[in-house]
Amino acid sequence: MVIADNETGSLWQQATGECLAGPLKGKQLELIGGEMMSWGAWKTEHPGTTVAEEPAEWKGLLPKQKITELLEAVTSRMVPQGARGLDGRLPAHEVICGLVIAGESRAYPLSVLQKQRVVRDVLGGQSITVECSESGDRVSAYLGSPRQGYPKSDRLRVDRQFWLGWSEFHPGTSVYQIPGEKS
Amino acid sequence: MSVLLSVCSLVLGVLGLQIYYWVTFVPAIGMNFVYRIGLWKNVVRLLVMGSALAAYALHPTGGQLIVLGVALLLSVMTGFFFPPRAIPHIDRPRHLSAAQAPLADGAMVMGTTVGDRAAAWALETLIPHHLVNDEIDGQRILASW
Repeated sequence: MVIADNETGSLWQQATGECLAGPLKGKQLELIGGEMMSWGAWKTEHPGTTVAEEPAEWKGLLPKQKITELLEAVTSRMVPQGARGLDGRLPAHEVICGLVIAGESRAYPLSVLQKQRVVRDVLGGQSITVECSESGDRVSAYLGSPRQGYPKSDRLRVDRQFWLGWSEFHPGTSVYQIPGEKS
Repeated sequence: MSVLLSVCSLVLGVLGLQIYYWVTFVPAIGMNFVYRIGLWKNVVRLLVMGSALAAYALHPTGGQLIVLGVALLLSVMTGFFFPPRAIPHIDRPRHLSAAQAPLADGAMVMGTTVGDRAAAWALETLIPHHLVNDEIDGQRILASW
């Protein structure tokens, strides 16, 4: 997705935060990341959290429910080619959890994480752990070996998205496989 | 020839309704096209009206007059499917505490922390709105889907 800012009309790449065109071309927004999980899991981890309220008035052209259905139908079917063409190692709409450390990127298919639940891996020269709940609604990753509790500084940003988006913006990415399994 | 011009006019007019999405299907168009979309909308309008007028000039019939009328309507509506019209963003929403939030525990959210402050946006809000301009702990952030 490309976003236009109201102040300058510059166009920004959502996936990378880079400004692609306009007066701010070349500038970079800081990606702070977000974790996707169930509300119950999030407020358990962050008891003091707030949540944004949905505005009372919907201002879209079509009813909100119709737009949501349309978006879900389109995004689950549409396969834009992107600048590099499709990477066929995984189905385009396979949900993956992407990690990047020291310039090395790897996609962890959610289906694989749900099978394994706890993955020990090495990425960017660092030992990491990726944990996934049984339902797949919570995935977290941190530096080091599996353990109970870890400092915030060891937490890694997990990008949960479709394979087609991840592979487009991480062309050299590897794909995690369960050791011993053939692709 | 007039039929060809009429068809071109109407096809371009219909495509022009979705001019903001051309780059999705033809990435080679590039970001500068999107940045200068105002200019390109006017180019499309000129081509749509020009083709229809030429068709009418070549063959001034009632049918061509109707085509001219439809072309005029389409050229006025160039860019009608403007993304924010379908997917309105949210500016500075009110934030509710966990106790106040009308969310089921199973509802999916996207959460982040800024300093010591944790904030979340429900996917049922993010998906239809795509963009939320927000401020957490004095820091302006964009939550996007």
